[in-house]
This record gives sequence, structure tokens and C-alpha cells, in this order.
Amino acid sequence: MLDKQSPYLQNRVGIFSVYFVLLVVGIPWYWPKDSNLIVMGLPAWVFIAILVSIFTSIFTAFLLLRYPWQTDPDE
Amino acid sequence: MNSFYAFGLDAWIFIGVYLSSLILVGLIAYKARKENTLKDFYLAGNGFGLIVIFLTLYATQYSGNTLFGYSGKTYRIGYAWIMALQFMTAIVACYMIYAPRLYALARKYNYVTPTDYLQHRFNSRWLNIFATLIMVLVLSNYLLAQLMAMGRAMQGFSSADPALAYQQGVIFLTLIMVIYGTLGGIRAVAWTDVIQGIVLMTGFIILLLMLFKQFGPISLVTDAIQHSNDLNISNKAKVPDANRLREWLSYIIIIGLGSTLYPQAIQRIYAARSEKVLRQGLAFMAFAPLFTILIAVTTGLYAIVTIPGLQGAETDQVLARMLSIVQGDSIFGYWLVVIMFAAILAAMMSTADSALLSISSMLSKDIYGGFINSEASEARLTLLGKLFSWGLIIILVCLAIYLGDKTSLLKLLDRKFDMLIQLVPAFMLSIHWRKMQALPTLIGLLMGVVLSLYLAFAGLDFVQNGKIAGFHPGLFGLLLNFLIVITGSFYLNKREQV
Repeated sequence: MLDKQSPYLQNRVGIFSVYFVLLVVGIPWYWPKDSNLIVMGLPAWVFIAILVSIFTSIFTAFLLLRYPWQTDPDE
Repeated sequence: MNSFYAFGLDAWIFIGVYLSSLILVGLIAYKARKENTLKDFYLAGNGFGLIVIFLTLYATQYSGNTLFGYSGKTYRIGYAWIMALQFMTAIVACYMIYAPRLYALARKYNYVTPTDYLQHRFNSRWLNIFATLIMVLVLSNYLLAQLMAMGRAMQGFSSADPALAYQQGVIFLTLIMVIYGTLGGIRAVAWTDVIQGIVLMTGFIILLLMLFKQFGPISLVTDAIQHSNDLNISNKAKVPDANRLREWLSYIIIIGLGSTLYPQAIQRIYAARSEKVLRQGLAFMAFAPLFTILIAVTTGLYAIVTIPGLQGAETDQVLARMLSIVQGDSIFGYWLVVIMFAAILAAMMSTADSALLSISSMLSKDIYGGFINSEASEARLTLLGKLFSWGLIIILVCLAIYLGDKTSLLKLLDRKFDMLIQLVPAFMLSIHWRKMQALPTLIGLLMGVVLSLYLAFAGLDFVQNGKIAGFHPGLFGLLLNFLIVITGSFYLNKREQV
């Protein structure tokens, strides 16, 4: 039923899984409330959130540059 | 907040040259037009290369809200607003859900407006009109926020009476924008976006350097916030509570999906020269939050320590206040602030001009051409689009002047996405699910919007700060929307088979 021609849809389970993991790790729900740990001048949970964002940017750019898009919509 | 040393003649000449260059670009774009058609005026004949597509996406995406609203929000809630970095990164990831196929369809069937896709896909007049109305309403709201931000910027940097400076800022800057926009259409908007994007990026980098030079490394700020005796301040470095974490997730979903459905964003997908150019432009955009949002958030963090005690709408002015401190430091600081001022104007004008152009295309092609006079020529529709731009902008300028300081920028932003995200099934699901039907899509869209607005404005007890347990009302509307679209389409498909 779904159109499966898009390269992103062909690999959708793997791609979705990576984004899901990044989402779960990026939001600091698992940190203890009284954590005062500092990493590189920032609260550790903020540092992790920034790191996840950088990974997300790299992964997204990789997908965009790696897979050409289908240019004929009827294929 | 008029705490700046007034700009001297040299600074105003610099700003004047910068603003004049935008008009000049409008004139050049006017001369560069190839034909008097909608496709040429609104999509530049699908001719944008990599640099133009990246900088126009960048300058359009990052706005007055980014500079003023995001530094202000960080000032109010602290480090938790680092969530903005994630939701702005999520936007590019969400483009991949539907941009590849939409680009291919747009190329084959010559789409000009977002509604062209809906018309081709569903052929439903009512769906077209409601989707267009939602997009026009949302964009008008967005445009209004930009105009208000222009006024506030001028308020902060001028030596004139604050109320007068606000009005002058709104009127003068809007006038420049609408002149080059109606002269050269998307070419003028995209080419000015190139100038504005470069100025904006330079401004952000300068801002970061200024903060480090003036106030020291970020570790000092973290230490000062964590060890503050004032609980309101020290809480801003704490791990967010459960409600804030849900809000974090909600922002990633609503802005990640919603921002890709801005009509001007969709039209930039149409306007790219090739799929390779569009992919590369988006790949660059994936990194833009790192040198934009991160710096806006950092500014808000420095402001918590440097200028504590601001309340309400004042908090949207923390960027201007930080700049005023830097400005008084040295002649170098003075010129850095002049460049930052140009960058601030660039952020607002580049976002506003794209929104205005997109609205005018929908009013002329989709509303007038689609429902009032389907026989109208392309030249007439293009002319009407320009007239609609002037008419709408006059109304919005009056509204911006009337509203003044009455509302925070972020409140406007929140409601806008509640409505925009209701278009997700109509665009993102329909482009992959060929059996999705028009009627459930229309009903889902309407019910999603109604539920979102009811939850947001009905004054219900369980709605706190415009959110339900941290989630935007628009997400509840979207759930209902999806439910109606999916069950309705299955039902209709089954009935057709029988």
C-alpha cells in the first residue's frame, strides 16, 4: 500500500531506529534530578543533548548526501 | 529598554547602505525576470543553485524569533531550552519524509503553490480552500511576529522615543521589504536572502565571540547559575522536571514536522535546480542549528547572570540588552553591535519577505485563480499577487503597531504550529499512501484544527501555559486528525471494493 520507491522508505526501519535512539538519548529523562555533574563547562545533561544534536546533524547529512532521490514520481 | 548609546552617523550610513543594497537587488531581480508568469515570479523558473538554495533556506528558517524569542526563552527557563537545538535539527530530518517525492511531483506537474500538490493529489475544492486558509492564517501570524520583532529591534537601537521608534521600525523596514519583494519576486527574496544569510551567519559568530570576550567562558556562567542563592536562578541549571521533558518531546515533534510544512519552505523545494542541489542544501541546513540556535541559547544563559530580574515581554529583549553592554565597552564593541544590528534586521526581513511572497502566491493563484476567476491570465494573477502583498502588509503593519508590547513572541509561535501541523496527513501521509481519500483528509484537517484551538483557548483547567501535561494542543488535534484520515480512508476503500 505504501509507495516503497523512496530510498528512505526502503531502509525505513534502520533509519527510524537510529532517529528513535537519538531521540531517547537526547532528552534527559534518565538523569537524576539532583545531578550537578559538569562537562566542558556545561551541566552534563546539556552536554549530552548537544552531542546528540551533533550526531543527528551528521546522520541526516549522511543520508542526504549518500542516497540520490527518485526523480520520476511514477517509478 | 532604551539603554543603547545612539548610533552615530557612520553607523547609520552603514545600515543605510545595507538596506539600500536590498532595494538594488530587487531592481536587478526585476530586470532578470524571464517572463511574466507565476512560475517565474514565485519560483524563479526552478533555477536555484546550491548557494542560493542553502542561504535562502537558512535566512528564511532563522528569524527574529530565533534571535529575540530563543534568547528570551533561555533567559526564562534556563539550560532546558537547549531543546531548541534538537527541534531545529529535527526539521531537516523531517524533510526527508516527503521532500524527495514532492520534489519529483513538482517537477513533473509544474507546481507553484503548496495547494497545487493537494489539487493534483485529491482534486477536492473544499480541501484546497481550507488548507490554503490555514496556511495563509499561519503565515500571516508568522509575518506579524516578524514585523513586531522589527519594531522591537528599532526600539532597542534608536535614541528616539520607544513607542515612536517601534512604529518607525515597523513601517520603514516593512516598506523596504515589500518594495524589493514585489519588484523581483522570489529572485529578489532569494538573492537578498543570500546577502542576509551571510550577514546573519557573520552576526551569530561575532555574537559568540563578543560574549566570550566580554563575559568570560561558559563555565563561569554555569558556575554562577548553579551556585546562585536565588532559587529562581539556580533551578535554571537543574535537570528539567517531568512536565518540561514532555514539553521537550512535544517541541521536537511539532516544530520538526510543522516547520517543513511552511508554504515558503515547500516552495523552496519546488524552486531547486535539481534534486542534487536540494539534497546538498538540506545537508548544509542540518548543521545550521549548531552555529545559530546554540549561540542564541548561549546569549540567554549569559543574560541570566549579567542582567537578572527581567520579567514578561522584557525577557524577549535580553539580546538587545547584552549588546548594549558590549557596545559601551570600546569602539570595537560599537562596530560589532552595528554589524549585529544589520544581522538582526537580516533575520527578520528575510523571513518576513518569504512569508509575504508565499501568502501572495496562495491568495492570487489558489484563492482568486482557483475560486473567483479560473480564466485569469498568468500576468493578471502575478499582478494581483503583488497587490495582495501591499494590501495584506498594510493590515499587518497596523496590527503590529496596535499590539506593540502586548504579547510575547513565543506565544504567537506556539499557536501557529498547532494549526500548521494539522497539514501533516494531507502532505506527508498522502504522498506515500496512494489510497488515502479526500473526504477523511478534509474532515481530519478541520477536526484537528478545531480540537487544537479549543484546547488552547477554552480556558480548561488541565491546560497549563497553553499545553496539556507539557504537550502542545496541536498534537492532540493531530492524533484525532490521523485517526479520522486512516479509519475514514480504510472505510471508503472497503466500500468502493464492495
